[in-house]
Parts: sequence; C-alpha cells; structure tokens
Amino acid sequence: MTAVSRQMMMSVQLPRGVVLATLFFGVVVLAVASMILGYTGISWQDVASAFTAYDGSHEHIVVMEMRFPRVVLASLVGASLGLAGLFMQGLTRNPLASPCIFGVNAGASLAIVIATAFFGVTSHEYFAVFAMFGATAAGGLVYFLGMSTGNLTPLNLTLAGVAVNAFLASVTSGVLVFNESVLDEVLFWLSGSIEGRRLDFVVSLIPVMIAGWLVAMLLSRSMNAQALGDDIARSLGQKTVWVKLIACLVVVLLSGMSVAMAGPIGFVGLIAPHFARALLGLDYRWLIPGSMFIGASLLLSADVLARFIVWPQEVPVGVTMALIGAPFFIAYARRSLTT
Amino acid sequence: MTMNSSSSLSPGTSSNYLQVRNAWFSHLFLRRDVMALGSVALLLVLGTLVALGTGSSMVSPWRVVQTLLGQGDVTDSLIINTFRLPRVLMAIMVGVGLGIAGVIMQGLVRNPLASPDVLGVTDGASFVAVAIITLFAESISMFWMPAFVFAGGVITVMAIYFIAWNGGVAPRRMILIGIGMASLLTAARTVMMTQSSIDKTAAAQVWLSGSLNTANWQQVQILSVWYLLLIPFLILAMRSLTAQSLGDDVAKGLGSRLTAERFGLIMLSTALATGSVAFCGSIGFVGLMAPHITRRLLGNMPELLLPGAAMVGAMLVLVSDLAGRIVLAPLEVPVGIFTALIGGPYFIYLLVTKK
Repeated sequence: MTAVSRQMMMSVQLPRGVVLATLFFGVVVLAVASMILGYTGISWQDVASAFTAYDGSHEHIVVMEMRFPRVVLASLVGASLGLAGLFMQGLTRNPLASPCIFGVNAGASLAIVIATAFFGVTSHEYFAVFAMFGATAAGGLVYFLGMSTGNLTPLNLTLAGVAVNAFLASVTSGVLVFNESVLDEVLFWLSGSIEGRRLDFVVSLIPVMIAGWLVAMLLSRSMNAQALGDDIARSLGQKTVWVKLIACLVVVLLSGMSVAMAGPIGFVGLIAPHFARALLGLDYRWLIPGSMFIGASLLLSADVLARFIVWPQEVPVGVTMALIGAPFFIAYARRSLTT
Repeated sequence: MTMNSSSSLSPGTSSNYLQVRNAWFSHLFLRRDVMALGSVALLLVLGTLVALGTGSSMVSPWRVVQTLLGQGDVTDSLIINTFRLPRVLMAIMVGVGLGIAGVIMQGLVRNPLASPDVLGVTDGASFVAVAIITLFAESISMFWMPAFVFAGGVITVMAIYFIAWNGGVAPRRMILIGIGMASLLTAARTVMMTQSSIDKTAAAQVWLSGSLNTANWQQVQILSVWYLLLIPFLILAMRSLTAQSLGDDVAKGLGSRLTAERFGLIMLSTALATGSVAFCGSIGFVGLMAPHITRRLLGNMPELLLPGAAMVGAMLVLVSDLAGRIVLAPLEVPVGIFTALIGGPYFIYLLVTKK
C-alpha cells in the first residue's frame, strides 16, 4: 500500500473490469504455457488435440497425466493463497501479513515430519490430513497471539513470524536429525512441490476450496466496511465479531488446504494482494477475484520456472516462488520503510 | 584502576555505590548490580564444573577442579581435558559472542524482538556451509570450512547493508531486507539439498541444527584469538551504543557520527555472531534471550549489560548443550534444537507481555 501502490494506481487508469479480464487472460496464457514448456516440448496443437481428440500418444500422455494436473493444482493453490493473504492483510491491517508469516507452512511441515517419523505415514492422502492439522494449529496460534497483543506493527509481526517459524523449523530438523530415512522421504515435500501429485485426491478437496472462495465473496461488502475501522463498521450495522471470525475461518481453511495440496509455498499470499490493490483499488468486490488471478499467475509462473532452473532436473516450486518473491519483499521494504 | 567506596560526591546513600575512577574511565556502579553480576559469574563457574563432570562417566565437581589444576588421575584428565573441556569452552565462547551480538543488535534497532539471527549472518553462513557440504566436499578441505562460512556470513550482512542503503541505513529497513534475503538464501540452499545425495543432505541437516560435537582445542584457540582482537572495539562500542539507544536525534546531538558508528556496530555484531556460527552452525535464539534475561537482572546500562549478556549467553549455550548430551543419551540432541526449544516459547512470552 502507501506510496508504491498509489504511484502505480495513477499510471493505470483502465476500468477495473478490463484489468480483471486482463488478469484472467494472463492466467489462461500461463496455463497454456505451462502445458507446452518443459522437458518434453509440446506444440500447442498437440495440447489442444489432447483435450479434444485424445489418442494416447506420448505427447498426449504427458499433457493429460503430468502437465494438466500441475496446472490445475497451481491455479487452485495460487488463487487460494492470494485470497488468504488478502484477508490476512485486511484483518490485521498489516501489509506484511501472509500465511507464511503466520507459521502455517512451518506448522504443516512439522506435522508431516512427525507423522512420518512417529506414525509411519507415507501416503500423500494422510500427509494432507496432517498438514491441514499442523497448518491450522500453528496459524491459529500465531493469529490469536497477535490479536491478543493488540496492534502488532508490521516489523513486530514479521519478527514474530520469523521467530515462530524458526522455532517450528528447529523442532522439525530435530526430528529429522534422528530419522535420516524420513529426511529422504519428506525433503522434497517440505520444499513445496506440485509435481507428481495425484488429481483424484485434489478433486476431493476442490469443492471445499470453492466453498471457501464463495464465502469470501459473500464477505466482500463486510470486509469493505471492516476496512474503515471497527467503530464505523459497527455503526454501518456490521456484526464485526462474526465477520472477523468467519473471515479467519476462511483464511485458515484456504491456507491449510493449500499446504495440504502443494506443500509449504511462501510469498504468494504476501505479494498477490499488493499487486491487486495497486491495479484495482481498495474495493474487496474487485480485490478478491484480482488477488486470486494474480496468485494463480504467480504460482503458474513459478512452476514453469521450476522446470528450467536446474535443467533437466526439477526444483520444488516453493523454492522458485521464494526466488521470485524475496526480491519483491526486499524492494518493498526498501521503498516503504523510511525510518 | 582504583576501586574504592565513593565519597560524598555520589548520589543517594553512598554505601550503595562503588566508584571506579582512573584517567580514562570514571563510573559509579550500584553495589547491588555488582553483586548481581558476581552471582551470574559464580553461577557460570558452577555450571562449567557440572558440565565438565557430566557425561557417560560422571566426575564430581571437586575432582573436576583437581583435574583442572593438574592433580587428577590419568582417566579423569583424559576425559576432562581432552574430550569435555574444549567442548565446554566452545559452548561458553559461542554463548558470549551471541549474547553480546544480541545486545548490540537490540540497542541498534531499538526493538527488543530483534536479534543477530535476523541480520542474515546465519543464513549467509548456512548457505555457504551447505554449498561446501553438498557441492565442494571433495575439493575443499573441511579444515577451511569455517573460514568460508565466516566469509559467507560477513558478505551477506554487507550485501544487506548496501541494499538497505538509502542515504543512510535505517535499522528497521535493514531487518526486513535481511528477512527477504534470508528467504532467498534458504531457497537456494534447498535447491542444493534436494539435488544432492542423501548422506550429504543429512550432513548438511546436522550442520543446520547447530552442534558442538566437533569442538576441539584448535577451534577454541582460533575463536579466543578472534575475540581478543575484538575486545578494543567492544569497549568503543559501549559508548556509542548508549548514544544510539537514546534515539537518532539525541545521538546526533551528543556528537555521535550516526552512520559510521552504526556501520561499526553492525559489523561488530556480525563479527561476534559469525565467529560462533562458523564453528558450530546455527544456534538460534541465544542472541534474543540473553539480553532480555540480563536486562531483567541488571538493568539497562551497557557497562553491565554487555558483560552480563555475555555470561548469560554462555550459560544458555552451556546448559542447552549439557541437556542435549544427557536427555536422550547416548544420542546427542544438537544444541541449536535445545536453544530453540527454550527460545521459541520465551519469544512468545515476550510478545504477549510487551506493552
């Protein structure tokens, strides 16, 4: 927010509908690119015919079995993280809030490592359940801690996030040091990966995720009132406690499910809302779809990049997302903090 | 240096103060503070004796003292002087470095939640360490690893400093940029770890947890020489730290060259923290906790805070390492995991009780 986005807002005077349509178009383009680019280069005609006239050729198998699930996963997770980040920043009135800062990722990782080391869990379905549990526990804990201490400044929130993450990460590596075999199994998961995830499992989570999105959309007017401050929101007839509670539930649900589907991925929830506000202003009715499209685009780009960084091997998408996101965070800190 | 009970010049009841006065230095110390500092020191000595005596074969503190004075039997002397003493000394020195680095960082940022961990020292050092373990294990001798790791820490802090430069360096900006840099380096580190073989990845993981089990006499020598070189700078830092803690404007009014002194303090904090990270990996939260505990015991004066935090930091690492050795014996829990187990909840407590 502040100077950066205002500057950008002045330069972009397009109607919001056009901006939103462009963002959606961006998601589509990136989705197609994600199916074309990679170890096996595939022409766009082949991609199209894989959907219209599937004939079981090598290219068609790659598209349908490997690329398409990744595109779906990246879009869903990216959109959910963008939305969760938007709501977190709104609820805490803190431009640096994001699921990652709230320990959601670290909590999920710890839960997975404990599940693997002590309960012998190896299937990805159970991973997801434990991840969801860990993410909810950690995120809820940090959120209510932060809320109970009153107004956390952005710096203190960030420091709190760093400390909680460091704590959870230490416990995680403590478990890993004693279980070398577990390390091998979960390390790739721990770095955030959408490669090789099965769609059938994702499919079962999609309705819940979409329900979360819908509830978020229904809350958009209330969130607009909320942004004016508790007192004004109340005088406008808002039940502020309920709005906050439901919004929190949406945030925890969406970020927890994202970790369950794709492992810990940072920075999407932090960055997407900033771009959305810069392009679309402050109205949540526009911000919600905007953040979702931008989040999806970010993760799709990170996923494509993940195939090329250490060619021909793949790196976890969480890593490339950090490589894209950290410079943004640094630039933001440089511009917005003058004291 | 002369030390005598003060005359009528001192404020309050004269017997409450100790006056230290010579050509370069003049200060009134509260007797109570001196007593507190003394008790912390005594506690540290006792802790050291217990740590030296504890392990798979137990040695009583009295026999430990005898052995240290060169009058113990051969077995005791082997166990204590060869195996345990370097490790215990390393723990103490690492704690001293991290504790002082923490005082400097918190004074500089004027934020009690800051610590040298967020300055990028640990992440720069970890990045280089993982690179050496996973990529260059054959070409670089492990003997030189601390030197490279040290360089990694210092270069990272310098990079953060210059990125944060905007006609001067605001410490808050530097911290946030440091956190961004940390994510970047962690990501790069993860790439290397996921691409290498499992034994190398596991070795890197052990390094990342922070461990004292490779401590030896040579490390003790190198680190103590390093600290001796830093002592003059520390004495200079005390003054400038007091000025900085009063706020930018007051510091300028007192004639402090803000930017230059800040750079010096950041570098000093880095030099202290990186020295320990280079040998023992990342040991978190000590730089955060030590200053707080010390402030509670001794108050805010840098003259007391620095030595106090040094001793409290030493105590924290010593006790964590001792706990790591005995809790799951014969397995060893890396010391960094124990400091985090104490430090995490302590941080949350700080956050909740903060006004």
